[in-house]
Amino acid sequence: MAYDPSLFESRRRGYTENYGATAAASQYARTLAQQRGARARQQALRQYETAQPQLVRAYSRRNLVSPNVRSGIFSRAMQEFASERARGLSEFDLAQQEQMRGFDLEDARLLQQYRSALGDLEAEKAREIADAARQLFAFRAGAM
Amino acid sequence: MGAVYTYTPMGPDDSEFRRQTNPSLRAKAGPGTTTRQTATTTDPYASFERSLTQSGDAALAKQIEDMKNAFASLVGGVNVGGGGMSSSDALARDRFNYERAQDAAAAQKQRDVIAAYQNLLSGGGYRSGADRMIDLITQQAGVSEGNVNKAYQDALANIAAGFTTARDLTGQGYSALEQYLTQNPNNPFAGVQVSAGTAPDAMEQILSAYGVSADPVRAQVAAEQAAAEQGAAGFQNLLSTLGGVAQQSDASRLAEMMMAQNLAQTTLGQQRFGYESQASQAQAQALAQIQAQLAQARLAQEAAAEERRTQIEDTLAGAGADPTAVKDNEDAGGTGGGTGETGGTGAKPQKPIDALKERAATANPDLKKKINQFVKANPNAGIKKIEKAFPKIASKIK
Repeated sequence: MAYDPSLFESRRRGYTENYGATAAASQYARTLAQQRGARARQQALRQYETAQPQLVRAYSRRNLVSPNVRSGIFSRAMQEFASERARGLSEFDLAQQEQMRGFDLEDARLLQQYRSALGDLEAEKAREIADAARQLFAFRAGAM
Repeated sequence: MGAVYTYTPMGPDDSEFRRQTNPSLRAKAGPGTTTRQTATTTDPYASFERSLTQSGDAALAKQIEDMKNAFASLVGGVNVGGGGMSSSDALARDRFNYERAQDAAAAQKQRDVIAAYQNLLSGGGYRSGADRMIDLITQQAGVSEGNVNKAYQDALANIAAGFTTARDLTGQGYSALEQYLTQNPNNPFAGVQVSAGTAPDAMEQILSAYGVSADPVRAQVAAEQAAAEQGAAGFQNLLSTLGGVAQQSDASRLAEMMMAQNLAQTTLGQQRFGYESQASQAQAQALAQIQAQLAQARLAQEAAAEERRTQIEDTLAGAGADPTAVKDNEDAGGTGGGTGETGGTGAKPQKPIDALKERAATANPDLKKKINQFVKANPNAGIKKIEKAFPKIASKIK
């Protein structure tokens, strides 16, 4: 079988186009996920910001808090609110990070797959060149 | 009969015959007078005959004599009533003479044939055709062997050239692969950036505005940050593991490339040895076949020559000649002369003594001296004598 480099170029083009398409899709999914995460975080943040004055007013109506009063109940409630806020935002951030890491991993895997396919292609090309050389040798020696 | 027959008498018998058949001569000559004397004076052909004899034209004289004899026989047959030699006697005499001449010619011819056969045997002419055929066969075998050897050398050259081309092409292909793999290491996990992100604020300003301690919240945020960093570290470990696998895969691919290259080059070397072996084997087979055909053809020619020799010996024996007497003739120097004239086969073969002289030119000094002494002592020695003195050389110049 004669060595035909055009076949390899066709396959290389196919690999590249396929990688480009999947990488673009992954990037688009990443962007959407980022946007979704950001929106959800902003919404949670707004909810915390809205809830915090309401919490103060509720304790204020019960005279548990005033410029001269600092009750322990109010202080604990505020600390719990702040802790809950921090935990909630952290969970949003972690979820977002994990999602982004998933995309990172998928992108790296796609890139590795693409490069591996190109490496296999180059190796196959070298083998085919060697096969063609062997056949050429056989022809030259009069064995075929 | 009124006709007068005048011709030149050749002897006493013919004179009598002429007298009996010529009335005018018979009338002129008295009793006891020979007609030869009368004819000498009256026959105009006599002087012509003498002039012919004197001029030495014996062939023409012989022709005239034959004509006269024939004419006399004719006339004698008519003159049946005359005296002296009758025409039948003359006819018988002539027949006797003719047959005696024929016998002598036949005997001479047989002697010539025997001599020719003896020359053939002693000179080796009986095998000159076979020798020439063997020479041609040997020359053709040499040409064929040369062709076979040239074909072998061409095959080796083609194999060597093909091997060099294939080796270079294979090397170029794998060099390109090595260059690609070296320039394109496949470890995309190494480029991934891992971060734990920033921890959310602890609402410290708000808490301090209401006089609330932020320490528990700060601890909570720290715990959340620590958890995020642990997650980042875990992901980094995962990436490191995947990166290590990718590096090993790269190294494996390079090793695979080198192994494949080594295998390809080794296979080419094996192919080369195989092809060379095949060519060598084909050459050996072709040469062996040529040698076998050569030996067969030589054997056939030798058999033909031996058969021819046997036929000649049988012929000589059948003719009463002693074939063993040939040895004396052979050593008398009669070698090599029977081919051109008696065999009718073309060029004369070289005499053994001449061949021996040629051998002396290339011999070592001692052998050369011996050969020169032998040639000087036996300038016409035949092959038998040479064989006794120099058996090895004789076997080559036979």
